[in-house]
Amino acid sequence: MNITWLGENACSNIEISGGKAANLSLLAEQFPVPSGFCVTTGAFSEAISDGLKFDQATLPKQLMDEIANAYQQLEKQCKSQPLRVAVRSSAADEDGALASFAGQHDTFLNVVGIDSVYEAVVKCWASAFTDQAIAYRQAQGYEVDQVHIGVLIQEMVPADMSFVMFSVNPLTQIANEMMINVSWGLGESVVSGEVTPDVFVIEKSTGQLLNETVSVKQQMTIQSDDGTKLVPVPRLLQQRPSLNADQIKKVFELAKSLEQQMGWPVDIEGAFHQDELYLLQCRPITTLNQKG
Amino acid sequence: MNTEGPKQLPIPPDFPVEWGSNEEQLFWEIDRVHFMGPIPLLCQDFAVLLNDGFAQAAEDFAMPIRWKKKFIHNFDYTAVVPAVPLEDMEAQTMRSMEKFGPGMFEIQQKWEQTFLPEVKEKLKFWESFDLKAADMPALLDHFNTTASHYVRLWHIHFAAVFPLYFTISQFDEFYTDLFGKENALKVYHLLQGFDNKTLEADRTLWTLSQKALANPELKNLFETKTPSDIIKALKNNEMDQEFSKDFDAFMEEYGQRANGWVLHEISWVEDPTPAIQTLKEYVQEPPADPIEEMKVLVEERDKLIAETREAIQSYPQPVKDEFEAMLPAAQFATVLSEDHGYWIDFRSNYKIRSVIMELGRRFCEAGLLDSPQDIFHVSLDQIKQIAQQWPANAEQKLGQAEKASFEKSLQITPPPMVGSLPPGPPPGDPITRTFGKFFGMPVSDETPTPDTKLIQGHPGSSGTIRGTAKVILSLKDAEKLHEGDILVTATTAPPWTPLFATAAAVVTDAGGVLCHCAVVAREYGIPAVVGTMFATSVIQDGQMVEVDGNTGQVTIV
Repeated sequence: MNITWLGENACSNIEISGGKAANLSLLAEQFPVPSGFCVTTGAFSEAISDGLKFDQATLPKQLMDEIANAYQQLEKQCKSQPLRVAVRSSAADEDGALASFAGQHDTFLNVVGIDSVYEAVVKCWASAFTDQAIAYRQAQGYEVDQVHIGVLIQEMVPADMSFVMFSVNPLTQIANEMMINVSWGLGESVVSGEVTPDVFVIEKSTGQLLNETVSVKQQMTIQSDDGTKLVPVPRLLQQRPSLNADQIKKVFELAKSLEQQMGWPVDIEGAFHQDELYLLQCRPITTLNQKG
Repeated sequence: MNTEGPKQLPIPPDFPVEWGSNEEQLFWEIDRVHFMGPIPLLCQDFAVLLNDGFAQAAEDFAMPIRWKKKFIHNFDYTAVVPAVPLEDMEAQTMRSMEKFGPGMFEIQQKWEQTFLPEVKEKLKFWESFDLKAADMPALLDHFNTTASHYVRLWHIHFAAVFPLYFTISQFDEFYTDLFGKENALKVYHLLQGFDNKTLEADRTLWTLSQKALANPELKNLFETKTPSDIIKALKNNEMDQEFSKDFDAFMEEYGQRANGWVLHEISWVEDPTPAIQTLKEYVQEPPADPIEEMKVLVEERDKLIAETREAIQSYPQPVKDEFEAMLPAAQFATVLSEDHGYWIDFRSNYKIRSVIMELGRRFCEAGLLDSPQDIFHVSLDQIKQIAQQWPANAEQKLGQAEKASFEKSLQITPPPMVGSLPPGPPPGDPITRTFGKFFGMPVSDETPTPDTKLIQGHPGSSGTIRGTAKVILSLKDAEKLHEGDILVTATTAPPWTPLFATAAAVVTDAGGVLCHCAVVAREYGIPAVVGTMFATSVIQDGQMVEVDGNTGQVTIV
């Protein structure tokens, strides 16, 4: 099986689709996860044994057809052509509770057209073999030659605001505090730390806003023709809170039910587009309890 | 730490200044956008009332500053002073921003539903009062109410102009933040092509000129006779009846304005020469059809708006929402930047001037003045006092010394600033930036030399053009401006703008990108450079100059 769709049983299996895709697949029915499919870890192993050289030319023909079919189907589902998608690597040992692998594997946003999708898939695979990724795996005690990597392809959410939410305050480790980091545009600049985001701290038991720090958000990531770009935020919006009270409440409720569902404190990535909330990633918070 | 005291500005020997306590520490500037020359005593008293209106509007907007006035040799100097203790300025600016933010989106409704109806009500108050028939106690009472209405009208004026200029300034900054500063004036093309009272007046004059052109007798009259002969012909009913009627209708609607902002200036109703002079010009060298010209502006605007929407397609929704909310607000504000002047600066001022002039006539008849116009050399208090004790004792003429002092001032070139230089650069908040864009921040510290060939000002309206410079400091001299000339002047009030149909470009000493001159030049689609400080003193009449409205440079070639 080369392709599996978010929400399917196979897709929810970490061995088949990798950690990121499996987590989202489990949540796809109940939560606002953008539609998408996964190129399985098996497809990767097969391509490697078929002589994949990490370029598009050596992608197995059969796999290319399957990806193209799935992409077309997703286009139909989303009623958009050519469809803009987000392509993310989803390693089997990634997004586990021990090490988040955050940022170790690539994400390609705003990928348009099937040829660009192929290219992004190949790059996701290759990213598992950068020196940095190998070193990280070794340091975390994973087998280097046993890399299982899936690739998740989802409808792109042209985010107006993107956030990272921790259901336990990662700074104070206070379990009754949730923390949102949020800024304008796509999530890249929030995740990478290119902007100082707004920070909202919420009391978990009551949903009450405990603390609000509105930052000067000078830059934001937006979609370009074929990818993303960093642009200045107009001064008028730089110091405006990037979430209103209603939106904070929605994010709070999402995090609360995710934590209940998963049974562990969650680290989620999400976005708002035209006031709709989307869940883009959900994983355990890996930095807790390290103080002993 | 700066241990030196504030830097004192040099004072010319023929311009001695008597300082009140602490006044010397302040930075005093002449508002060269509005006041070209000295103003007589009564107008100084009215300027203080105007400043009361400013303070009330400043209060409405929790502004961190107030204006302080000082009249030096009859020139109107203004210092910006803090409204709160210095350590609270930043917090006060934040409070003010909280008023200005929503103000952007409330101004249209406020103007249409509250301010304009009140202005019209005040106009009715003056129109329904029979000046000639009133006895002195009634006239004095009317005058007192007029003075208090004056304060209220300027309160309204500033309560309208603060948010309107703030809106345009914020829209300008929003656009340049998104698309860069390379073409600083591009954003203003999104605001162009909407009709306003200034354009309406100019277009009505143009229509009159077309009627004159279509009638050989009238055409001949405007081509060969002097303005005063034409006015005589109009008064003596010697002109085509229909044309006379149209001209009277024009004067009724648009003639209630003076050539500048000060009450002692004669209105077009009293002396229609500027209108007649423009008609002569339009008949001799007919400018392009303004209706067609506006269509071009509208087309250009709509195209640019569509391009901008396309360009921000992939921006976060709040950016798009802000653009869509601010665009109509800034477009309305652009129209209001002219229309408020029609209603308050000119039409209301004309009514107030009429009341003053009626008192002038009575004072003159009673032997207190040489001419009714001399009432402007008598103080507000003295006028009230004499009217109170009417009939007056005409032993001594009023305002003689004040008139002499005023006339002496007419010969003086005042220093544009006196007192002490401000300790640092102006604050960088959006409110201060708005003021800067209207009045024009100084472009350089250098004073020009006889060899100066390049004059730097602010970009006012885009385009580059060469032409013969005509330095025109008074509308009386407007006749020397011909098709293709560059109008070089100190500042322009709306009554000057009919000249923009003839001029190829306009250059001013005063103002910034939001001043009246720049706003209207953009509607005429002619290049403008504003706020050069020195253009009228450096450029000689008849010199060939090149005007680059985009860079704000004027080159003598």
